[in-house]
Amino acid sequence: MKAIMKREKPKETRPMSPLRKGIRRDWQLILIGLPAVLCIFIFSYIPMGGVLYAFQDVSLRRTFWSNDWVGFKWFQQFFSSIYAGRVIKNTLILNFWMLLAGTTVEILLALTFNEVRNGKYKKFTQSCTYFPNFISTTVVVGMMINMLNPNTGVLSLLFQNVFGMEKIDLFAEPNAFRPMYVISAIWQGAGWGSIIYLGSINSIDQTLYEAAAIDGAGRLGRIRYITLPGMKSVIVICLIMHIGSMMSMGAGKILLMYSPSTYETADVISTFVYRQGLSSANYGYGAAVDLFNSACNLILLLVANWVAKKVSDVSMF
Amino acid sequence: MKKFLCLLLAIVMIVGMFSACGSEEEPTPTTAAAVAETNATPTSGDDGSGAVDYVNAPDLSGKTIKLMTTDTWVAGLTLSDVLPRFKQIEELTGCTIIWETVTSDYETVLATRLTGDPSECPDIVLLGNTDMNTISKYVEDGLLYDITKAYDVTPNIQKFWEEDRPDLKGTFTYTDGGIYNLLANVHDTVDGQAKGVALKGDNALWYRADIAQELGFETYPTTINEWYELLTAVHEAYPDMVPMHMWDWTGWESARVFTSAYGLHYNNECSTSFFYADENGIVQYEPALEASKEWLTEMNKWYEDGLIVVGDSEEQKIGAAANGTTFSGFYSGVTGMCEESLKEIDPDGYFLYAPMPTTEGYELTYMGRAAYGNSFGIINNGDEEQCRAALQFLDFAFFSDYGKYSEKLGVMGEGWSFGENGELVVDEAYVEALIKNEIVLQATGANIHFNGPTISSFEIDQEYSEIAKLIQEAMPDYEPVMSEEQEANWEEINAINTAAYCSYFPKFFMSAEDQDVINTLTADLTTFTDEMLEKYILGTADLANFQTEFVDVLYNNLNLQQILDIYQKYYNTYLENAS
Repeated sequence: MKAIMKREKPKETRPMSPLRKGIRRDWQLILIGLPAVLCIFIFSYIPMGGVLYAFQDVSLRRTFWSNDWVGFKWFQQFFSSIYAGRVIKNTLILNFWMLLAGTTVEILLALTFNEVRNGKYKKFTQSCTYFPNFISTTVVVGMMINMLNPNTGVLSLLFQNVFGMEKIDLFAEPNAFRPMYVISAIWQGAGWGSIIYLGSINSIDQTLYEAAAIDGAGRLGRIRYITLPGMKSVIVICLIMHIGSMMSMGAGKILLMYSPSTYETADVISTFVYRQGLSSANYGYGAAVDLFNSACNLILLLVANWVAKKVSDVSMF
Repeated sequence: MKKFLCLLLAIVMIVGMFSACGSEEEPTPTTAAAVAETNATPTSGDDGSGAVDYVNAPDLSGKTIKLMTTDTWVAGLTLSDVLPRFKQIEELTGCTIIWETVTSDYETVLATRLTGDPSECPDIVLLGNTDMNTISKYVEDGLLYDITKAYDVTPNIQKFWEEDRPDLKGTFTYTDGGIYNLLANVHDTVDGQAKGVALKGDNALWYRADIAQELGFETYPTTINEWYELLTAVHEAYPDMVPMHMWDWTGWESARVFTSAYGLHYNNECSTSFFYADENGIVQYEPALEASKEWLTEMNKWYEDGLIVVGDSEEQKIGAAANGTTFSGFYSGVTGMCEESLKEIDPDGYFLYAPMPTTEGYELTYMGRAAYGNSFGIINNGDEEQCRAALQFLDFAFFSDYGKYSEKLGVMGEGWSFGENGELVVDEAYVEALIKNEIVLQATGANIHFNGPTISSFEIDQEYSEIAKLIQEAMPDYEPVMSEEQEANWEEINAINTAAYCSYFPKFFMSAEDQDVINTLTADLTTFTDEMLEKYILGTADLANFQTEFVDVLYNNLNLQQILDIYQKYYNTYLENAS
């Protein structure tokens, strides 16, 4: 009887909202993602307020709001330099070569690894290409200086004695700077960079390869009609992200490699700001140039994303 | 279990992320009293010498002085090395020192520290490298205490500025007439008078004397032409040998040592600074002068003829000197560093030095060195009495006779003391032990090579040198690095070079507006100058167009005259302050 009564008067429960439902269902995933979200919020979003330094004369003793506002003074200072155009051009050219050559080599490397059938050999070669990534840039540049020294360098002597080339100091040669920078960067980072492409290849359904083989597709055919289309979305996303940082170029390696004789091709925005900022400890100036870079990067990213969406239906957003 | 692990992992990651955020690294306050008791040292009064009067320690009883420094006190010395000395200072003055040491990235930590409440800041801070821009910012922000306000209690500092080094007083007098930083160490040469630093490392050309003699050059070259002849002969006789190693990764800078041959003022302190004041007190920009063109023409000829080598690092240059693959160069102490290695490869090989070369029609000038090392600053925390006490501490620790001697020889009473008339009395056995490194520095805090502000009375260096010489002579197993011929050669060269010294060009404190203009304009000026000079030497730019392509651009496009006018204004003020 009691049971019957209960059935007749069921307890009223409010339907659960989709958000609560989602949290209850996926709380483990949310928890795993939380540190990353917090990290980005704390270290990327909160400091965004610092862009206002670009419009201030920053003083250590004053608070953020009591600094003097100087309008576009630092932007004017940067653009009034006779070298502003040159450093922007150099930054873009160097990034373009890094994008073109770097990405191409990474994709080719991933495709090559995928085609290697001998497991042990594959692992060994993969490891070999990853190792340079763990060598510091300072050491890499040191190795280059030693190997390319016109008098004692192994490579220089090889070029001179075997190929009959003239004795030339490549580190003082403006035209040699970009190739040296890009080639050394590829040597150091291509293996590591290929991991993401290799991952995308591994996610391709293996039955497609089997079907293609039955249909008579050779290796190149399978790469062309299955692997590359399967990697398309990752390639496009990587491309968009890279284009979104076209105006940024780390100063560290260039500072180690360049000299006044190679400023013509090697001086980029970050090295120029480093030289100027170092002499004046001017935080406002640095923030202004960074803000300019970020604004350009954002525009480039939006354009690249829009073009990618139109052309390939793959986009970041 | 999976859920538990997931939760644990997330908590660890979040906690880990925050771990570095809020925990300002608490400095490990150390008092000098923490030094082992075995290091206890008697004051001069204790040893019965009766010389205690010459110590003249201020009474800072009950005062606590907070001092923020790097943990590397000066090159080759850690804070723990100097603690015995400061323990004695604590005993003599009655104060307590609280150390706040920073292990790395000192300048950033200091800047961050100074953004806080001044009352929580240390009393004394090491300002790091004495950069006028940074110090200006601190002064403008009201962070630093004006030292001149405490002259009445700091007689030694006053003497240092007014009598010993008015030139430095002129340099460090701020635009408002105050002085806000005290040099902690200086390496300099002023008007031909070397003070506290050996010249050997700074201004000598070295060459392989054995090869020169073999080619018929019996004595060292003294002019640009003689050098050219010698290097050409070497290049012809030994095509695989580098005739002159002079370039490093700072580009053309090493080549600037030859500007002195053309009456230009090579700035030994800062090879990238081109400004100097001529004999009439007019500020000049060296590269824009006609004599620069002559220097560049000569350097370009040397480069084209394969006499100078581009692009070797410092290590490579030293290595090349040591393994006998280079004939000459501009580098300090090559004899000491490379002689031994060279002997293993070539038993007959040896180095000699040559003076800075001259050329016809010009008088050799070589700008004195004024490398300002670290500075101390007193934090203006609003407590006038505390600021004055901090200054009294510095006055005694670094600028008094006691401070000068103990900086180099360690705690008083261990190996040195004041004589009856206040003169320095040194125990030879103690200095011998220091030389032979038998007494570890930690035991006494001695740092015989320290070039503190005490350079104003460099008799202690002389004293040390004389004693060291006697001891070396008395040591049967001591093998001098330099042969008698090399010693004599060095003394000769040093005398020639020293006679050619002229006044150094000082650094300036400027008003914020002028500093802004200088910062903005000199960035492009320096980039352009660096680039063009290197192009002229390498031959990638035509020296025939020196006036139109270079000098005219400096004046018309890069506002050189405006920069010169600003420097002139401050140089005039400097002369007034220094007089």
